[in-house]
Amino acid sequence: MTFDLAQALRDAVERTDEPVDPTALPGTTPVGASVGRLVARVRRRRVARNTARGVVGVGAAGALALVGTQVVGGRGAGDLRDAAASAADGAAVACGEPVSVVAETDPDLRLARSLVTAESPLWSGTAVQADSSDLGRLEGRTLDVYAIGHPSDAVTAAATASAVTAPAGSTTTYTVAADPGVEGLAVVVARDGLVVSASDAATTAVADSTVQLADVSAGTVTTAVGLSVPLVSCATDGGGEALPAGDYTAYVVDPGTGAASSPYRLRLLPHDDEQLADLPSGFPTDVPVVDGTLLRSEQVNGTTWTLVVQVAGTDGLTRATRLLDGADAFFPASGGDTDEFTTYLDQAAVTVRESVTAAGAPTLTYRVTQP
Amino acid sequence: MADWEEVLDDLVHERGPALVRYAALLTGSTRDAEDLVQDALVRTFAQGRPLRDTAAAEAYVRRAVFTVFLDGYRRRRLWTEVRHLLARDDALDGHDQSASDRLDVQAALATLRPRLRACVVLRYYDDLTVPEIARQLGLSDGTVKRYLSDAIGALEAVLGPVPAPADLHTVTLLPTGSRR
Repeated sequence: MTFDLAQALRDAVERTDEPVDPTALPGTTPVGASVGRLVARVRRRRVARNTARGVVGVGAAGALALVGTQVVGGRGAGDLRDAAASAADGAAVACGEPVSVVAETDPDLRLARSLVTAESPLWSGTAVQADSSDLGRLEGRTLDVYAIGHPSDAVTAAATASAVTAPAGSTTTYTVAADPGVEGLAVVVARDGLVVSASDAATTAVADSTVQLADVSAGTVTTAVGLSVPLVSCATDGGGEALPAGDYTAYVVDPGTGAASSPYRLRLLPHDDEQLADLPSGFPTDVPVVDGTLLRSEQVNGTTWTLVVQVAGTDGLTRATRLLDGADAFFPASGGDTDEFTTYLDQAAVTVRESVTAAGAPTLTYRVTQP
Repeated sequence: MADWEEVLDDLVHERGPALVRYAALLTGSTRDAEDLVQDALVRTFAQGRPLRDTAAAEAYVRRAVFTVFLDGYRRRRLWTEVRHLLARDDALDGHDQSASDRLDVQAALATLRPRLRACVVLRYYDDLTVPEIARQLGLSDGTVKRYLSDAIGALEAVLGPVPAPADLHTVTLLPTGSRR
């Protein structure tokens, strides 16, 4: 007699005789959280998404131009401070205040644009990329960045316990764990020394993105958490205005201690329509392509399109990811290559690769395959 | 209360247990499954889709459970691939308990290493083909086949013979020799 595993799995999921948990707290649902808590999380996520997307489209681009004129072009830093200070103050750091008086510098607080993969015969893992004080040139108005800070005592203890078993020759070992010690970190953006944007950590931490780094030889542990920070002015009943183009400085701040990192440079480029208007005839209409200069397009075998688009910012790949957000999932290319991803739409597989031309201009190569 | 909030409320209470049990097949832990379902619910309803009935919403959430699980799987993969070189895998700690005492499929699944368990669920519950599983998990076809073989071997020791699932794309041979 054989065992029907598929049917057994279906029965296991759809069983109706599950006993009631007598230890469940009042208000707890079958998924382990109250509906009210879930609704609150959904609302926060929607706010973050809306503010990040608020600059998409012709109308929003016009509004952005207006903001740029009012805040930067015509009135200068003093009015920028007034504008920021008049916004609702729900952030950990006071908007409109000089950065120098709101925080002390903590060298252990850092920002990193990406984490890199390291390989050796004994181990592989993730490490913080070499320090850089430049966060790049962004066309979009979302800063995707890793905040690095002090892990909580519990995480430190767990990391240390696992690290002691590392084999001779390895210097670092890694694990992944939720860590409120860094997931509460906030990013603050300043212009001309004044805070103009302050994130709410609860809405910016990317779920399940915490990486813990334990250095066996040095006996130290640090933790990094991925943040997706909307670059909007401090207002916040759901949304300030997208920050205008210009040069800014960003800091990661520990709301618990008030300490901040040293400054990181951030240049925001003018922000136009997010989607490329001059797509070649016949290109699938359900595949959004980031705005830029179309360098090359070709179709092969009637099923595969290749487009090369030159973009101005260093955030082309993340902008492409957001435009394709309607897709169900993003799959990083094999081997941990963070310069490329593939996703699957209803009628096409889309691979996007970020590279740089010989002249140093960033480009995105789209490969779209239809069945 | 907004429409989506009512749908969320209904979905959590009516289908929450089934969603958690599905997620538990992947995670091997009810606690992790609850977290996974919560994240999937938040991700789905934060998209702003016009979700007006629980059946449609459940389909999206079930897909999101799968996606969130895979996202976490990929992040953990680098570590889990080498962790056995550094320390004993926690997931194997339950192996000393006699699996033969557990005739329950969930208990049998729980004895598998996470990557093997994921392959089994994707193959036998989600009806994915080997190439599809390989693509989703970022593995080669051969590795997935080996994982499935190892997993089924372990499950058969507890559950008895487990036949291979029918291929999703069955080719029917007709007497004329043509195919359809």
